[in-house]
Amino acid sequence: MDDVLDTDGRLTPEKVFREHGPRVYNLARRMLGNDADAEDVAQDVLLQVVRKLDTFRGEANLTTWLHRITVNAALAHRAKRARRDQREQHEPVDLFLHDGHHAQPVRPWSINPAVQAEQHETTRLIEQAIAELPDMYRDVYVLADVEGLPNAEIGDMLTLSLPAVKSRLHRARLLMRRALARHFEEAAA
Amino acid sequence: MTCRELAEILLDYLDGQLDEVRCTTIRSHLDACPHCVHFVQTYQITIQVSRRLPPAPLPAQLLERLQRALEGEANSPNS
Repeated sequence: MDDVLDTDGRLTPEKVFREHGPRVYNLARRMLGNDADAEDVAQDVLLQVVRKLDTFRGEANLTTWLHRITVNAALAHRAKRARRDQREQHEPVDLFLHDGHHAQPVRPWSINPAVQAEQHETTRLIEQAIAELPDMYRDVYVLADVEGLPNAEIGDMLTLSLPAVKSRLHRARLLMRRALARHFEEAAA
Repeated sequence: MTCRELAEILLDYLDGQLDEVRCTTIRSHLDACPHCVHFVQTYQITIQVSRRLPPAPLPAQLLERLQRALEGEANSPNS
């Protein structure tokens, strides 16, 4: 946390923008699926932070606090926008037949996650798949699998029970997996 | 265990939240089901690629808006 402190041990607006701005902006962008809305939310959050700089003197919980107020701001922005996701709520578990077996053959993917997530086209496909998730799944997915937050913390932020977080996360992963399979699944032999 | 049942507890399995009996049941199913092997692998890849997403840079116009807002607050009579 020392890198966001000035010589007097105080946070400065410039350092907050530089060190934390991208994280705030990216979280808002992925939750809202819209660059312009994300800019509005990031501006509100970052200005809120710099107005309260005196209360932060290198506290280790700054990142946690930033996550929390960004999530709150994004949810409030979405509610105000009154454009809640009306897309069809896909049923991810229709992957299976009544007898519980896979409905279709499951093939491996021609992707190396260690390198391909940083390639432009792969990044675009993953971001698009995230943006197309229904809101209730996308919020949990972004916080868990993009930001890497623990499920319990996500439950606190979204006022969800732990089983609800896990259920939504699993369904989000199934939807993401299905969306990415269209691009990365190897052709049938 | 069916493929659907495996999928339904996959999150807990990958998080190490299942007891040894259920882990053994899953491993036995995987030994006999190549479709589920691929399913589990691709489920894990989905998580891995999302965790490696590079952040988009802060847009220049947003930085300008932030600076203008700060300057406006500094110049306001109440500051």
